[in-house]
Amino acid sequence: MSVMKKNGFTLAELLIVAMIGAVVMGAIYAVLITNQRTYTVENVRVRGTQSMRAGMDILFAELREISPAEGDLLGMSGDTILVRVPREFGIVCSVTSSLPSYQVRVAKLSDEGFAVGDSVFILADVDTLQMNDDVWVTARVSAATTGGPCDAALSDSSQTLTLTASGHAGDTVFPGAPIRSFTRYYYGTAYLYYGQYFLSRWEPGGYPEGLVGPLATDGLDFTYYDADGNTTTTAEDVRQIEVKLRVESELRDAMGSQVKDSMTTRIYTRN
Amino acid sequence: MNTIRTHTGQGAKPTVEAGEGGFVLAAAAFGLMVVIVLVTGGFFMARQEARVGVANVQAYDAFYSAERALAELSGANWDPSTYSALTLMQPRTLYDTVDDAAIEIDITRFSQRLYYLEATATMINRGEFSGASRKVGMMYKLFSADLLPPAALTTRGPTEIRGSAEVHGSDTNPSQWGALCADYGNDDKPGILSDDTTQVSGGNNHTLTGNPAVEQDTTINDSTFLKFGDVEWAQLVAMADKTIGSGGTTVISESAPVLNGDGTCNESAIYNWGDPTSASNPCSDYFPLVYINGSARIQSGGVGQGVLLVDGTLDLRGNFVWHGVVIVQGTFETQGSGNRVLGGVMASNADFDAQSLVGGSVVTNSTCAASRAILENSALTRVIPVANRSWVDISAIGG
Repeated sequence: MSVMKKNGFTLAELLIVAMIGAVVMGAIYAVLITNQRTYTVENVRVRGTQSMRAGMDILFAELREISPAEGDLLGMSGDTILVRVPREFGIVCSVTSSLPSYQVRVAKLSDEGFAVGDSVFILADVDTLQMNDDVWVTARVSAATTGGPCDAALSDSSQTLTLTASGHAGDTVFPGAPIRSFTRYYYGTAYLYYGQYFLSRWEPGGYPEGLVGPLATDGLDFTYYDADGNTTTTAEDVRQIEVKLRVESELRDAMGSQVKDSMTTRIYTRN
Repeated sequence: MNTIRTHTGQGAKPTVEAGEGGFVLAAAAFGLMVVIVLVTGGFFMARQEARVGVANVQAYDAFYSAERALAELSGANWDPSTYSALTLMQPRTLYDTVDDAAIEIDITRFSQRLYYLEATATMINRGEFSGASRKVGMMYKLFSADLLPPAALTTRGPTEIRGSAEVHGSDTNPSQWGALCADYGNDDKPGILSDDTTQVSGGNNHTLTGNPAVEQDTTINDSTFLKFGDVEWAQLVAMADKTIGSGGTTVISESAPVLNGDGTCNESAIYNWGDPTSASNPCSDYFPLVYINGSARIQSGGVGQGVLLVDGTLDLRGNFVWHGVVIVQGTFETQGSGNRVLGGVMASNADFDAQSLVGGSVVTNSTCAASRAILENSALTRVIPVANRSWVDISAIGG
């Protein structure tokens, strides 16, 4: 007997194969689509979380050093804040002359150091035995030169600064007095790149500089609290600043909900 | 795909037939591959996110550990005698471990009263996440009761300097203290500051010098001897390291340094008031706040340093050496020779009795002795952050 060869499929076989194939492909497609959507949604979530975290880090670093009691909180609203942000830091090693301008040699404790034109605060100790007469006076750096350490035992280099002061005289500033430069900045959201909102900062009269984003349209809230934990609108009384950041996307997750997230923290001002 | 079919029967041989070509398996494999790639990507992202989160936590832990280290050192762990003796601008580094953080603190004294503390915390024992580090700095001011006497002898009412007694307002450092006095400057004061100089009198052999020798200050009143800046007499009494007597007159035969068996200073011995005469004695940096409840007669000599508070009359009968501040609510009297007070005496003489310094007693103004007596007593002195803007995030400014 010869073996009979089968060439081709019956219609029934084809239909069954097509049906099974369609079912399997459909299932795979569904899995793929779900995975892709989940991946995209998670990607957006992660980026949003990272943006908020980076934004919190920036605001945490900038706001915790301000001194509301000394008037560093210049403006406060629900979505924007204007502050004097401390920058360079040094400690006076010696005072070499007095008003109208006086020179101080400072141990430079920050990377860049002071520059001509910087606005600075310097502690006037007045009576060294008293605490309650100590006052921070403002001055402007009119000359700055860099030199070796104030003392061989100190690793930090020094700067000799000529300061033009208002208020207290140079003879109320003594060795050991801290000195800090500062910059005025607004922090808020601004409508920037690709038509999106970013956490931004800008000097008064300047243009916003995007820092972190994109955020939601109402992506930044500030709430101000006093030492007792009550909300306050008096700048000098502020001791805590609650910051809330929000992100959102047009995307919807597998449950059909819009992808959005928020992060809240309270910043205790240290000074 | 080819398949193998086995036929049974006579003469049968296995044959390989043309496949019934399909794509389901290939499509399924491809789909699985895509799924695996997506899952791997998602897992990678989640892991990255988790790592970023954990790294942030480490950074915050380091930050708060550094802050905690500063708070602890400037609070309960502040040692006034050690840190007041630091040479200016010569940092001293301390090391410690707090929880999972290795702490390094630099203490730098920039002036007599201003200190800069910088703490670096580095996380350890956190496996692959060890190494996060943060540095914060803080400026502190040494705050103390305002007990520096305005003259060698500040008093009121009748005051006699007789015999060979001496009162000097020129600023004099204790000869044994040497470099310990290097940072206290020079502040010559009146020999005697009185509310009424007409009541100050002297014998033939006494010596009275100063800038000026005698000065009048009509504002001297009870509060001059009861209120010292923000600190009141009752608060000083409450802070005393040692309380002696119970209202009457206590006779003290000899005060002298006492050592423990291991050679350290025995600060609990009631008549150990430190040793001003030898900078190498273990009690040389012990400056107690001694309160005598009532009056005291100190006889048979003795030594001491710090702040001596006397409710009633203080009567020195000879060879008593005190470096620091003496505040007496009653009268201050000396007899015999060898009494030496270096620092300053404030005698209220509230009853305006006649008080007399006779014999070979010497009272000399010493800013160094008075300052050390105050600054090196932990009850009288503590470090407080300077007014606002004392805190600096050094990590943030790249220092």
